[in-house]
Formats: sequence, C-alpha cells, structure tokens
Amino acid sequence: MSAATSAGTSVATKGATVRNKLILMAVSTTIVALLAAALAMLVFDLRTFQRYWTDDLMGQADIVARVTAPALAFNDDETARQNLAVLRVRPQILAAAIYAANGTRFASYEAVPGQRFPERAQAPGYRIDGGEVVVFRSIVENGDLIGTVYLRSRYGLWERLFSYGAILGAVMLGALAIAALVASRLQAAITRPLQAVTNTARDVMQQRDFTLRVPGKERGEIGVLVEAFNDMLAEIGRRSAALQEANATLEHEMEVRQRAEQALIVADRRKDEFLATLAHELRNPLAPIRTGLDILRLRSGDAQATQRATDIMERQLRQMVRLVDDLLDVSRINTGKFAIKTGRVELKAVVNDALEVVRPYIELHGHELVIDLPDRPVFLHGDATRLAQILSNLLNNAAKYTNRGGRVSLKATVEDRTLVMVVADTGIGIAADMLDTVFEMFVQVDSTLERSNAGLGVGLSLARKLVELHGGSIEAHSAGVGHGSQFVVRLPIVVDPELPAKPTPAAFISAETYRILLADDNVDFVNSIGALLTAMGHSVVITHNGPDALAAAKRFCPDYAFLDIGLPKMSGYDLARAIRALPSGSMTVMIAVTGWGQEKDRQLAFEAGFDHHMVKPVRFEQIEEILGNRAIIKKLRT
Amino acid sequence: MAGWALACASALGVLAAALPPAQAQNPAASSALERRVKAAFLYKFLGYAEFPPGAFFDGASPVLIGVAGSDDLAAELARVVAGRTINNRPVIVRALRDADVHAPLHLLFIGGADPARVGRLVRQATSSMLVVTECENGLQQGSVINFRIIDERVRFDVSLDAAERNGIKLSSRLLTVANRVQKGGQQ
Repeated sequence: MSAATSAGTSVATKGATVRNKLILMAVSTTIVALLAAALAMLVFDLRTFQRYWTDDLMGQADIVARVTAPALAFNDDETARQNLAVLRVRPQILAAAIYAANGTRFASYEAVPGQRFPERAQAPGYRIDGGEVVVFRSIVENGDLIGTVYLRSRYGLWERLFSYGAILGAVMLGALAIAALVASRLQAAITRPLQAVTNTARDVMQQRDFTLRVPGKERGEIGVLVEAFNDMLAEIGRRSAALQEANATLEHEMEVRQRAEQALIVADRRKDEFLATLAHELRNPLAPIRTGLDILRLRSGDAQATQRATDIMERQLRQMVRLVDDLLDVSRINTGKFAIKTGRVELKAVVNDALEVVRPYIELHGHELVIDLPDRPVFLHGDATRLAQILSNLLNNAAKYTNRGGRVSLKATVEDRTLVMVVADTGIGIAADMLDTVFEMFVQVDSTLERSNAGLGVGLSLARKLVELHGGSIEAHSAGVGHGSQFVVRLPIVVDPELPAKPTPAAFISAETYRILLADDNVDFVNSIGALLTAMGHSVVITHNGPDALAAAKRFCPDYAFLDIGLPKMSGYDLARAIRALPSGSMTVMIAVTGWGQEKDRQLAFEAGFDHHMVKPVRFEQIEEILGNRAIIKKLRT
Repeated sequence: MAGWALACASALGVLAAALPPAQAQNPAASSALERRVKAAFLYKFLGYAEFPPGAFFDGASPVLIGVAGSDDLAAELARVVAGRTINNRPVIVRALRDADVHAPLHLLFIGGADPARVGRLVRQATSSMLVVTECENGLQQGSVINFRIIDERVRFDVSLDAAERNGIKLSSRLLTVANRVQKGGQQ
C-alpha cells in the first residue's frame, strides 16, 4: 500500500477516479452496443420503409390505373381528371398523369401547380430520383394495354431517417442515463469496499491508531484485499507496539542510568568532602597528643603535668578510636557483614555505657547534661554495646553542634510497648529541608561551618542503621536553624522475661584466674593492659618482640596469648605457629591483635592457628569477653 | 397470354391513334371517325357488362353482337373484334336487317336516328340483351345505352332500369364515364 504514504486527499481522488472509470466503462459499453443496434435497426428500417413506400406507391398506381381505365377506354378525360383529383387525399403525391396507349398525356393532376410531367409515357416500374419516387404503371383493360399511369411522390426517406434517428437518439440517451444510474449503483459493490479501505488507511495515518480495521465482509478478490489489508494493519500495529515498548524500555534505562550517574557524581563529591573532613578529623586529635607527648618527655618528673597530659591524650585517642570504629561499623553494615548479638538488655546499663563514653566530651564543651529515665527497669531486646553506641553517637552529636555552655538532655519514656528516647540540645538546629537527609552517609548539615564543627556525617547514619537493625525507628526534629534539634528514637520493649543466655562479663572477674601472655611492641598499650589484667588477679607476662614471646610461652605455658601481628624480629603468624608447635601449645587460646580488619587478614590469622582476631585499638571489654569464653573454646579444641 | 397481350396492344394502337383526331374533326367530315369510335365503344361495353346465367350455351359459346341499320359500323366492328375475345369467348358480329332483330344476341346495336323505328325494334328484340341505340331519347324507347354526341365527342347515357329489365348488370366503373345514368322514375 504505497499510496498510503501519500496525502489523504490523493487517496480520496483516487477512489473517485475508480468510481468514474467504472461508470464510464459501463456507459461506453452501452453506447457501443446501442450504436450497433441502432445502426442495424436504421438500415433495416430504411430498407423496409423504401419497400413499403414503393409498394404503397405502386398500389396507388394500380388503383389509379384501375379507376381511370374506363375513362381512358371511353376517352373521357374529364372523368379521368376527376379520378386523379381523388389523389388529393395523399399529399405526398406531387403529380399524377394518365398517358394514352400512344404515349401522349391524356389527363393529369398536380398537388401544387407548376409540376413537370414527362413528355411521353415510359416503361413500367419505379425510379427513385433525389427526394422523389416516380412510378409508371401500365393500364390494362380486358387484356388490352390502354395506357400508362404516372405518379410522382415525395420520398420521405430523409424525413423518415431524421425522425427515426431522433427517436433512436432519444432512446439511446434514455438508455445511457439508465445505464449510468445502474452502473453507479452496481459500482458501489466494488468502490464501497475500496472506499472503506482508503478511509481506514487515511484514518490510520492520521490517528496513528493501528487497531482500526476495515469493516464489512466482502467476497472474492475484494474480500481478500480487505482481509490482507487488515492483517497488514495488525502486523504493523504489533511491530509498532514492540518498537514503542523497546523505546520506552530504552528511555527508562537511560533515565535510570542518568539518575545513577547523577547519584554517582553526588556520591563522588560527598566522598571528596568526606576524605577532606576525614583527614582533618584524623589529624585533629594528633596535635594535642603530640603536645601531650612533648610534655611527658620534657616534664616526666612532674606528676601533675604528666597526669594532665595523659588525660588529654587519652581523650583525644578515644575520640579518634570512636571515629574509626564508626567508620568500620558503617562499612560493615554497608557490605552486609554486620550482625548484632541480640540479648536481654536493661536500659540503665545502656545509658551508663553511653554516658561513660560521652560524658568527658560533653563536659569538655561546658554543656549542661540532663538525664531523665523511667523509674522501673525497662528491658530491650538487642546488643548492649550497639544500643550504647546509638545513644553515645546522638549525645556526641548534640554536644558537638551546640555552642559552648549549651544544654544537652536525654529523656526516655515508655509508650505502650515502645521505648521513646529523645536526645535534645540547644544547638545550631537543622534547616527543615535537611531533616530527612541528615541521616544519609557523608551528609553534613552545613558545609560552611567552621572546620572545628564539621563532622564526617557518619555518626547519624550509623545510628539510624543500628536502630533499624533493632527493629526501631529514628527521626530528627528542629524548630529551625539556631533553635536546637531533637532526635527521637523508638525501640520495642521486651515484656516477657528471658532466660539468661550467658553469664554477664562481670561474673567472671573474680571467678577464675588465667595465665596470660601479652606480646606487643606498643609498650604503652601492652603495659596498661597488663596492669589491668594483673589487677583482676590474672598472672601476666609481657613481651615486646617475637623471640621473647616464644621463650615466655615455652616457660609460662599461658592459657591466653594476645599476640601483635606486626612484632619485631618475628611476625605474629610465625610466632603463633611456633607456639602451637610447643607441647603445651594446643592448650593456649591465641588472639591475633592487628591494625587490619580485612577478611583476608582474619583468614590468614586463623590459618596460622589463632583462635580470635581483634582489630586495634583493643578495648578492655573485648579482652574480658574472650576470657569469658574459655570453656567454649576448650570444648571446641578437644 | 403475354404474346396475346402484345398482339392486342399492337392492334389497338391503330384505333387509339385514330381517336384524338376524331375530337378535332368537324361533324361533316367526321362521320367515318364517329362510326369507328362507336364500334370501339360497343366492343368495350362488353367488358363492363355481365350477362344472365342462361345467356350462353356453354363456357366456349361466342358473344354475339348484332348491328342493325348500320352496315359500315358492323364492318368496322367486325374489324375491331377480329381475333379478340371477351372473357375467353370469341366475338361474332352480324349485320342485321331490321326484321332480324329478334334473333338471339348478346348485344344489339340499333343504328339510325328515327325514334319510332328504334322503339319498335327495341320492343321486338328479345330480352336479356344489351340494347344500344344512337337516337334522341333512345333510353325512352327502351334501350340500355344510348350514344350521344356532346362537344363533338361520342358520349353515352345509361338506363339502369332497362339493364335490369333485360337481366344485365353493368359495371359501376362504366357508369363513372357515362354522360347520364337513368335510374328509377327518372325516365
């Protein structure tokens, strides 16, 4: 259907042309047939007419001969004239005459005066001469030829031809009109389906609607045409739909990609900001620590100064450790490797743990801290450490974004079976459009803030993820910038009593004492830990390199060995393998202490024979926890 | 038949050629022409007359014409009818004396202009006969056809009553050329 691509008007004229052609065909066929028939009829009629005319004239001549015979026989020209005068009733007879037997004219008649007559009678018969017929007829009476009749008549052939032709013409015109009418009716059987096809084609092109179909059921070739056209439309429609679908898919994909690209750009920018902030945040505590070290070196004898310096350094270190811990946790959550240890936890313990961490920081900023907790115990289902982390993050944040001398409050209430904790401050507040985004990773409230106030945008993100892991929710409220902010945490409360799953770490403190080997080249760290363990009643041996540690292990046969991987002279892995090779080595619980928390480091440690893997900096609680699991490990070993 | 017709045509040609001059002749010099015309008429009358059934003995019986009181006309008529037939019957012409008029005839011509004589002869003649006369008031004497001369032409009157009386039917075509036709009480 190449014509379908041309304009609609040409389709219409084409249909009209087909119609006209069909009618023209019928009419011209009729004309040819009618002409042939008319010509044959005309020829036949004229021959018949001529015979009739001459026969009639001969008959007239006979009558005249018969009637005038007595007049001629008795030489009565007067009577003969009277007889001839009767011909007046036949106006087409122009002239008549009687000739005697000797050929002379005996009597004559003329319809109009001034007619010519032949001089002498001629042989009987008729002659057509121009528009006239001339007849000579013998007059025979009683067997004798007594004269001749002469008749001259108008020959009506042309008149006849004209009148007959006119009738034929009229009949032909009528027939043509009827033929045209009939043809215009009959052509509809062909043109109507064609018209329907062209109309549908035009509609389809104009409306781009391929569900249109040519209506009606036709038979024969036109039916096949209509059916094929409909099938073609269906096919085009299917393809067009498929194409559109593919286009939509492509568009959607493009959109998704663009969004992803946009998100990547944003993420990239945030990461850059994060890196800058991270560098700053990591470097920030280093300056006071360095200062503390300088004080210690210069004024090691001054106990008061030493104490102050170590306090500063410890605070800064804790802050730094916090930061790195948060980062690691977030990274673990994001990679799906983070799991919380669930258990029955009491609210007050959680709050105490959190306060222990943040109280120095809050006091450092000179804030007033207000705590308001329910009187009766509230039990939660979750990880005590992580719950404390949530609170400490929120409190830390509140302290950080509140100008010096502000107020930080923690209020916990019970609503039905939900614990609602609100951490509020009188700080810089949050703009309304930022309320939802503050929980996103690396998002900072205001990048124009001073560096000292800038955070990494990690703490809130981690808090929200931890809350969600506990089946709770967190939301931020603020009356606006400069009006302080509120963070509301909702956590489900456990009502049913729970069987104690494990003994609390506190139960172990005086329950059992162990022989413990510590090996680390960080003398400060290892000495402080050693002092703590000794204070708890354990026997502790401290070494600072690999060979010393191995020698101590041989002699001391420790229950626990905390080994730094990065020891001088001998790597922690080699040391572990050597200890395991000792006779008493299989009884020792070995813990790798490294600066690397990657999965492959963990794997390497376990391959070398370690039972546990701890990432620096090591908190004392972690050590206590490991000491508490002694029984389980022994069981596994044997 | 065709040969016969040709023969007739040639024979008549002589008579026909003689007719027009008759119109132009003066009475004194045209006596012979008049005799000839009347002879021809007599013969032609037979063609327009129908005789009663018993008039002929059989189909081949001749048509008998008697001419009384005019021998030259008889001779002329004899010449006219020579070789001719009427309805396939030969024609025989007899010149009669007045005493012989009662003889059986089909056509009797009584010449002469004396009405008394003509009337006597008409009454003597047998019935069923076409009687032709040429005198004044011939029809009143009982003749069927009476010649007259009008405008120097030979014309004739017809009495249908006489014809009917004699059992003779005259063709209407003959009547069309008659000068006068008497019928009923017009006598």
